[in-house]
Amino acid sequence: MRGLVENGSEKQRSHALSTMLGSHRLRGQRDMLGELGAVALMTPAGVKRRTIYDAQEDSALPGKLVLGEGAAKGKDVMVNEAYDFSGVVYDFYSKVFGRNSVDDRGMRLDSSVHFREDPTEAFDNAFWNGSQMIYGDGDGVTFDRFTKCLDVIGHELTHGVTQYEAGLAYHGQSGALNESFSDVFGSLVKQWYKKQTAAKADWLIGAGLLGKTIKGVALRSMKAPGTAYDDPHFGGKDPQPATMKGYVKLSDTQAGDNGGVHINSGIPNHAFYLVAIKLGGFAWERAGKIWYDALCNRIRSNSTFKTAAQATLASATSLYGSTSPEFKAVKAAWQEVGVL
Amino acid sequence: MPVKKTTQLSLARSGGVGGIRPPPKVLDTASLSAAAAQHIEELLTRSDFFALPAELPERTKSADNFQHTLTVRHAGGREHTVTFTEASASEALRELKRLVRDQAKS
Repeated sequence: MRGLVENGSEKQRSHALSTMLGSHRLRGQRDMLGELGAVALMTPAGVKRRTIYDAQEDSALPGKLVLGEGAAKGKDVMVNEAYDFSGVVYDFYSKVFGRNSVDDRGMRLDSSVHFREDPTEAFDNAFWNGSQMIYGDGDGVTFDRFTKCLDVIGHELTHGVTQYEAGLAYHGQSGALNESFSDVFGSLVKQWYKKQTAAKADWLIGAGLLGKTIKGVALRSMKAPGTAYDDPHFGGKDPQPATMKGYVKLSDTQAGDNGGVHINSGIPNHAFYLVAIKLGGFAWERAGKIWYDALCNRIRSNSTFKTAAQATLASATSLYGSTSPEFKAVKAAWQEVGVL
Repeated sequence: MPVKKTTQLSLARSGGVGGIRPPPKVLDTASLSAAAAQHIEELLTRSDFFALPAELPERTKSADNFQHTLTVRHAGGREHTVTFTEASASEALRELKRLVRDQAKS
């Protein structure tokens, strides 16, 4: 191998070098350095391995092991959904992008269900804690169980993918991009699973998750940011902007949602939607491929909306050429949302 | 007759996969029994609330986690705001949060 690096043709050298270095996977390893516990999560390449734990309405993680890969399912709906949907997300990344799990090295997909951060209160949330997915039951009034929606599970797992790839810092515009990539691939997983074209897809995140009495349809809308809900339980109207004109300046503090990462993500979300609609067909095939290439190969931890837009243009050029309909669609979309 | 001074506590939440900010929960110790108000005083002391930094961050690379923000306007005149996650808060701060959540009128 080393001989090829030193003496082969440029292509051979490049291939051999990237093989030696573990290619882009090495970049993801940065996150794992010093986290020795992660070694236990490594499995041989190309193996889907899911493990579901029951946190038993408490905060201790991961909780009690209740379902491993290939084992017989029980009757717990949350356990089964976490298992099935994380499997769909694994298959999506594997079949569409050739990616082997969250870290592209076959990392085991761990999920804990029935989690409560505070044992005295129903947990209305799902999150990625840096190494696994965590789901609450919801209070049954404002929210249903958080394993219910494939796109929410895709959203959480994509936080893991982003952590190992671009490593987008979770504040300001880079944080909003981090959130947006999770919505983009969360939505694409759902579209792929349902075999929906861009025109047929609902472009909602978390449809069916809100309680029956809540005025709203989902957590977010990529098609029409700012329209997902309007309910006093949620502090009023969905605050997402669709374009830079509506960019919300919040303080870059935890209390300010780290500069509105869940709010301004509406802008790159809408840009992706516009590209997908313009190109038509299955959104994961071209628009998704461009976004995935940008996430893995071009976008860096401190990217802004503008540098991310330029990254997607570079990806479109690399994949389809600078005079292609794909390039034109990406450029027009970022212009329409006011980023370029 | 001197005006009775009370302590106001306001608890807000941000973050989460939905990024939803429910209306803050507000508690005035005027609405509490003397013993319950005294318990709040003890928790403020035990958590060293007014000496805490504005943010108590977690060290993990988590995304979509909840953040809780507690603002206390103390009868003694001091005011302070601290943002924390359930995992980054002390037991006393967590108990304070639960008390505000359960006793709040709004």
